[in-house]
Amino acid sequence: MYLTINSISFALNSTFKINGLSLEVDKGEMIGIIGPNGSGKTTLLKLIAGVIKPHSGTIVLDNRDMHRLKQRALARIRAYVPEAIDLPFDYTVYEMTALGRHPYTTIFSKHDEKDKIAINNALELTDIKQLSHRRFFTLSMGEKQRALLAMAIAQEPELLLLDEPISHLDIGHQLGFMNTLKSLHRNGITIISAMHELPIAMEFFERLCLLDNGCIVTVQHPESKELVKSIKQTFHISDERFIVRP
Amino acid sequence: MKLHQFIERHTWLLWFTLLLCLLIVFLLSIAIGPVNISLSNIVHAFLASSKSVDSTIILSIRLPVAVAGIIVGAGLGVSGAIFQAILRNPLADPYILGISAGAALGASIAQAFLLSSIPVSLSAFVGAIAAMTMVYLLSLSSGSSTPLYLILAGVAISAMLGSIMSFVMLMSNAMQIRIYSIMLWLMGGIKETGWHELIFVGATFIVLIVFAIFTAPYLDILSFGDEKASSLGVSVERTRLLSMTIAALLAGIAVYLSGLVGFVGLVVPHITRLIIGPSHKRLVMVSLFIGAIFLLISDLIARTVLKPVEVPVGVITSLIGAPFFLYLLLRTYKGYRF
Repeated sequence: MYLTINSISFALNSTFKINGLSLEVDKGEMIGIIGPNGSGKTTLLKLIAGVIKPHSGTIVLDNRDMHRLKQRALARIRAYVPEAIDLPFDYTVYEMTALGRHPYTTIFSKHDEKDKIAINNALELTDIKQLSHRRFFTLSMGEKQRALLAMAIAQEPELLLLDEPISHLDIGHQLGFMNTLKSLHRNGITIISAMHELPIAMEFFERLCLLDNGCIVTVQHPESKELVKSIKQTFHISDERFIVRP
Repeated sequence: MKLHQFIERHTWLLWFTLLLCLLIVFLLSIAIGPVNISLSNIVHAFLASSKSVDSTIILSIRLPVAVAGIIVGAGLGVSGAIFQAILRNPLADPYILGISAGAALGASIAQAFLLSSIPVSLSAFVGAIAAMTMVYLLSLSSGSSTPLYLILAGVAISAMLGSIMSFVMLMSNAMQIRIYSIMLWLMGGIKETGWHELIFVGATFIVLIVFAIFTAPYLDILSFGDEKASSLGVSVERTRLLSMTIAALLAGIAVYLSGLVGFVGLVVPHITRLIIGPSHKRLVMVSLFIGAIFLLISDLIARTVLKPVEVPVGVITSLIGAPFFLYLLLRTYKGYRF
């Protein structure tokens, strides 16, 4: 197993907690996390990213206890794209992407050839090479998401975590972004992403993990009949047209 | 945008221009005063150890004030740039986390009760750093020193220290004269400082600036928010404390030398961003130059506008700084982003 989450618990406040959650992910897998608002998708992603620590339980990443890894070392392995970044300053796309190289540079070193190649690769893989010198605030929502993705890809991660990356995009940009993720996945990156768009999630992910109230309801292949049934119960909907692809 | 790209290609031109401007205002600030001194006499005073009146004025009065001006302006500029990044707020300035209120309280206690036993500048410095420490500890007690908690704690502590200062002023004997001198101090002006003191302060300043330059790249990362920064391998709490200490000490030094000079720390990083963009590695360096230039020019105006009366330099920096800041705010409606 590449990533093993071993009965982790975490309490955000008295009303919400993740209690003894376990999940296993293979190397190179593409997993979607779905669930109602407040079901714990974001908290689970932050726990996997290591930006918050569970009160109990362990996360084993590639046979190493994740919480024993140095932050810098971890930052070379996994990248995390939060749902919304409210930037106070107007960086260019290139400057932002270059910040993704932070785990590889020290305060005394400049970006070397290897860094420049990684930055260029990230811009090419996310299809925003032509926007390199544009400022972040001048970009459209779809372009902003790609810029944040490029910043994460510049970290050269094995594991990519995304929190509802397409929620604010139109359907065309949603599919475009998902195809980009798919091509990253083909390059061998393990992807875990929280999603709200069920039909799109069913189309693109290999497995879907359904969360409710801080617990995993089920982890299934998107084609499975049982998953559809669980989704209907969890979201309290009866009409299948909004869940499955026609 | 085109300006940024032009500068990107000709970095040397930027540094050359900044150095030249700083040199010009530095020489002007030595030359101009109650007695104007010619350039040749300035050069003469530096090169030959002549005992003329002019060289005495230059070496014991004008030069220390000009050097102090550079330290104050550069320190406030860099401090403002750091505070705006760690608080993720373009409206932040070096005084926002209680430094001004602490300094003012320190200064008024010294003026009101401890007259002549402790210098006002030292007492203000201690007050500033103590207030800042209180704000940090208070924000930390909420779990983590996030920008929001820091700003809220800063507002609360500033208000509290402000009212204590009012009490101090009311209680002091021979009130009126002392209140006037406190008011004058609060307006901010470069005090005449002896060389011994200035060399000590200058050395501290240089050490702090070196730290500020080397830690500048972390400011970019911190401005993306705690979670993103932590996922990029930065230990957020430690880095923020280090940067905040550097910025607070730089502001404290400025307070020590000149009282409360307003608007430099707020406006200088914005002027700098207009010229070179927001990337902090360069922002910190360029803010240093622009801060120094801005303060020396303001000081020149302060010394000459009502000659022979000297206006406190803080009055001039606010007079120039506030309208410029308004102009920046109006531009945000037309698409300028910080």
